[in-house]
Amino acid sequence: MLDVYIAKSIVTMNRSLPEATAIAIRDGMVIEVGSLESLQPWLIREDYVIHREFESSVMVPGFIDPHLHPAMAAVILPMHFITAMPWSLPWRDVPATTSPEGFDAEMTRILSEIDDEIAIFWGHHDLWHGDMHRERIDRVAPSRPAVVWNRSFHELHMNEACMKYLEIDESLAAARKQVDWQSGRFYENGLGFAISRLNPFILADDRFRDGLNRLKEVVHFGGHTTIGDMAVGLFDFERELKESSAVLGGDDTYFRVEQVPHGGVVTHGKTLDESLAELSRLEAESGPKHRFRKRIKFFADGAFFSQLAQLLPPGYLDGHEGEWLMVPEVLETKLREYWNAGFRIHVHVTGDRAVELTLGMLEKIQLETPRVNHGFTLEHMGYATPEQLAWAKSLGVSVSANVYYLHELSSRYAEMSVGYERASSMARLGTAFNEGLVTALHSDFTMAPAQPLLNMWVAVNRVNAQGEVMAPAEALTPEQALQAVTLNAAKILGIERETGSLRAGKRADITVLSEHPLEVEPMSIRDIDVVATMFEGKVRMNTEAH
Amino acid sequence: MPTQLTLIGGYLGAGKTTLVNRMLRAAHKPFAVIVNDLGALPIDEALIETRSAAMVTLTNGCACCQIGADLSLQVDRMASRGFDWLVLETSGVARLSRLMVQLMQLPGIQVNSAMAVVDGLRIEQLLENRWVSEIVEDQLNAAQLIVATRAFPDWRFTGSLWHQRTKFLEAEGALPDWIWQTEKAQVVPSPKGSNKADFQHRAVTVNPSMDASDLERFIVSNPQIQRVKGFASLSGQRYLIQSGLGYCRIELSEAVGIDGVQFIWTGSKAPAFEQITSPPE
Repeated sequence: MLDVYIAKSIVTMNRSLPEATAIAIRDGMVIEVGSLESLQPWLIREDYVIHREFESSVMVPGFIDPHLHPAMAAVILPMHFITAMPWSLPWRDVPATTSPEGFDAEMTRILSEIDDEIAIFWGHHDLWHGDMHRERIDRVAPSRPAVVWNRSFHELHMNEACMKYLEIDESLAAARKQVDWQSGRFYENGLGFAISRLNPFILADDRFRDGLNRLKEVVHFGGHTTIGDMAVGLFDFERELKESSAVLGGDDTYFRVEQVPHGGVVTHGKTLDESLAELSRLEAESGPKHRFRKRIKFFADGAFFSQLAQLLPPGYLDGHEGEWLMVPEVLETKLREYWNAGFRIHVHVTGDRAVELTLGMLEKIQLETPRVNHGFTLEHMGYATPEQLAWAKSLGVSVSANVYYLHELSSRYAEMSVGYERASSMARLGTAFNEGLVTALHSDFTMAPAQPLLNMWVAVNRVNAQGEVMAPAEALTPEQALQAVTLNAAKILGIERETGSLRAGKRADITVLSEHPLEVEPMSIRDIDVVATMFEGKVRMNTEAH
Repeated sequence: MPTQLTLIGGYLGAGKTTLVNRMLRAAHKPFAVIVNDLGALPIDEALIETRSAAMVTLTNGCACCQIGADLSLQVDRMASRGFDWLVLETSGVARLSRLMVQLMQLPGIQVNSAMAVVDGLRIEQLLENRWVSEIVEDQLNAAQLIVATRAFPDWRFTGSLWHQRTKFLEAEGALPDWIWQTEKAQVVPSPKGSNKADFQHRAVTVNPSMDASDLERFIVSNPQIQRVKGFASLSGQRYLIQSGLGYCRIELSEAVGIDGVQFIWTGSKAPAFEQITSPPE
């Protein structure tokens, strides 16, 4: 039996037939794309049903986020969001809260509806919500433990009841740096102290599972049909595998999880042969919805949000230095080992100095053991020079970029981190496309919202949160941006033969949109609604979310 | 009484794990080891068992917040298991300065000693390495103790970095090879032991009428020699001599300077230096 879906338009990402109006599907596979007329050779031979529920909608290949972290998301999503930006979550559209009074009112409202052991609010931002301090939370929650977590995640405040509950007394806290006892503030390094006390609550089993369930809804809501877990083991390898297959393995999950193991974790304490055997076993045992393949993730430099990216001269405005997450020699050894073993290698690089290091190593290894179609990918690519991108192309390297850095950080980083020129050209995507690199976009959720349309909007408009247009020459066309969240994202994960575009023979992974993403006014791309997703032919309406 | 934490930093391969294993062997009370180097060689599990010690390995934690949360969790866990002494073996690229600030925030923790372990044969090369020199310098500058392994580094290599403010301490017990105590030192762990190494050193000027192969023969025929470094003019050409455990390199050098070769050896039998020095006038 063929299922034939009619749409106002089907954007295929297949250049031989860029647009169509009908698609025939059988057993989860696209049988043919075209029009009702052109499908006739199938329709005269087989039984079929014509579905018209999407005839006023637009179909695009199912969105793919090739890099996010379900385990991290599971920790943050159970928190209560009160944010300055509107934040669309499947269970609730979080409206923008832009005043101190509004923030307190939201806390009061949420407290009246929940009975959490510790109420944790996430999203506080001084600029909109005013100074936070212990007494302010005490006024809202005089007797219940409550924590207000900053949007940056690098700072929190707690009330008196919470400190009492966690047995943090003045003698313990007051003497520490980056802990302000009077205001109940824990920041940067002091945050580690607070987290050590909060861990039993934020990592509890039930809460973690609830968090993963929420992640599932977020992924549905964003319109994804594939996600890449780009570092299984970031947090706890066995627990992640177990919980992920329990929560995301069933028929009510309308996306597949492509699993890429954390290279530091899966190789730790093992010989190369042992690690390879373990990775083969994981691959053999993984199912179609949770799949390990010959892929591995390594880390070069520090986090972009923490300003720990390794930078080439002239470096940071204040002269501080970035970090390496792996010893460079160890990184080179691992790259060589897994290169020689035929793996697709993903390297976390945020700064241009890390790009320089990584490409230098790859060039050396390429000369020793040439490979083609190897899928070596630079992950994040906060800063990279134009020359590095040309070099990357010559080595056959792909790019999976976090473009949301530009939206959220470029204004602030221009002023206080690296100056205007480099801040405005972070996520240098136009050059990457011009050089012919396979270039994809990811959210690194929860570093950015898991909404491909939002990422497309940033990549096309290069507008930051302050409304400035940053390095418009690096903007993508809407078509390039759509390619970056579909076909190119599939290439990053090495699954482009199966999904990422709509043509005969591929999986029927489709995202159904309210508007045509290549024809709307570019500033409206983020306002397009995800109507439904189709995962291997199975439809899930987005209204089912809540 | 706060839990004592001993911080062991140093670049990859410097000997951090060896140091931890020696500490386990010699320590007068059990301690817990926290390893934050996924590339590290294993701590000797037999030693962990016989010493009633414990060990955990940190992952890199959240790539966003680095190791903060994971580290604090494990420190908490170990302290709650009754250990009042923790030893943290850091990643080879950890900046000791940054880590010490982080550790100061942890409840009930006092850093009793921060050590940087250096490979005496490799330190010069690392201090010139394009990618890690500033991290290695940070480790040396932040440390209260600098522990050298494999060989006694040439005093001169440290340049302005150390020699103004360091002094040589005799190594004892669990502590390997050589130790420098920097001016910031507060506590010097010096468990008593018997495997005190007996190193001696002497700088000589090599007889210019020798050739390079004569000098090489002298070095390899004296197995008590642990380390050789310096310059010599031999048969009209200037050479850089570097030798350590398992290697001996004598290479032509264009560097200008005063000739002199430092030898480090163990045991009471000194090499017969008269064979290679200038004969008396």
